[in-house]
Amino acid sequence: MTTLQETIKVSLAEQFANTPGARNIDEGEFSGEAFLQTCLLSHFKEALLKDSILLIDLDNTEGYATSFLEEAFGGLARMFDAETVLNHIEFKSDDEPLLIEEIKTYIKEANK
Amino acid sequence: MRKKESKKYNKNKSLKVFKQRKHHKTWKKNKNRVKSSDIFKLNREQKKIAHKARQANKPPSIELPKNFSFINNPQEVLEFFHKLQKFLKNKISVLLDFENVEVITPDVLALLMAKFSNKEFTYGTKAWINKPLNHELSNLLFESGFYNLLGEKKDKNTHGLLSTKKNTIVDTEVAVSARKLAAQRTYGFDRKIQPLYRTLIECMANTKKHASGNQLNMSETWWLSVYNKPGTDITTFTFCDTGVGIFKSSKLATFTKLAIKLGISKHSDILLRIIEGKMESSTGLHYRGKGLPKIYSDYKNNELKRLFIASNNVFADFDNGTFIDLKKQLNGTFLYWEISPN
Repeated sequence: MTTLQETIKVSLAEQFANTPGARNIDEGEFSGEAFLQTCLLSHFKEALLKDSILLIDLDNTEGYATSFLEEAFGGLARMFDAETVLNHIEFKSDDEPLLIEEIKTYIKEANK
Repeated sequence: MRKKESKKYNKNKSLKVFKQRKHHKTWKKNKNRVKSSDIFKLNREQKKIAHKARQANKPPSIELPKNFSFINNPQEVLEFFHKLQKFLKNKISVLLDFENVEVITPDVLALLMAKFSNKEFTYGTKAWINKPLNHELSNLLFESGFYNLLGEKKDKNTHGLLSTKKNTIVDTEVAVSARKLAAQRTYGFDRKIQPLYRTLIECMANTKKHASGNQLNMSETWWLSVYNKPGTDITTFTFCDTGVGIFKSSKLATFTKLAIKLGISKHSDILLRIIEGKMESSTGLHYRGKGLPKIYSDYKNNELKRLFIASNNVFADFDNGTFIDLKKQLNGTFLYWEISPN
């Protein structure tokens, strides 16, 4: 028997910013580091506690710099580990579907 | 008795004012005059220009390349910048002679503004410019805001086809306004252009992180110019800074110096390896340094067109697949690309 996991949804555009910036806070507004610290981390911990899936909606933003994505999701994998992150996170990206694979690569390569 | 003293006082005062005025007049007459001691460090050709200007009691005039375009004529443009800097470094004010210029492209104006806003280039020395005879080029120069940068207040043209911005950090507002301008001019309506937005953020982040070459003083300024040529749907982007350049940034510099010393590689090979993502970032962290490879991959996927990258002594034209070794160094990093619907 399989159990349906609960899904926690986070829209990056609505809950963080529709103009994501670069990697670190000292580089300017809406950085990947700021997203990780103020939004992603708390929701991910909640997903871990509830053993649920965190669904990140990447749509409706201006676009993403590689450094933003790497610092946010690669940074999360450096805090936990790649497998734990990949088991509890999913992505939605209708605007740029290729982003999903790119982010998963950042997660897998974060600790190499 | 009192009247006599007051008369004497007035006489002295007017004499003082007269002397002050005379002194100011002489100073005003000679303030732009080239001092013979300043000419000493110039080369023979530059000395000739400076001596001629001294005799005429005018600032020396430096003629710009007729084809004043960095993407089309990088060697001559850099030669001009080096010649200009030689005068400015020796505190000799100059006149930039635009009169006979036949071609000006927006990329070179962004570079010119970046140079003139950098005190390590101008040494606080003043420069003047005259108008190109060509009306279209003259308009382009007005729109760039270059006159304002030199402190010459001229009315800015209202075409709004050229927008120039600067900052020292990653400025998402500038990236959005540049994207909106490009969307309107290129597609005719407001739409998101994700590859363009991320390229702008990557460029700004690279300047913030690497351009100063000094971890303590991370405040290099970047310049962005967005231009839409009237009657076309092509929007051009020029991004530049006057930092240390790609090959002089911290750890990369040690590696490149060694590789070049050993004759293993040239700067152009290293640039190719960087943009193909085959070389570790200058931070030494394996997960960094993905910005330039992403820009290159967006170019290869036709999202960005006509990509040019120049830094230190390398100039790369990716459309033509040519890498030019620059005779004169470009201090800093330069990127140019275009957005068009096809």
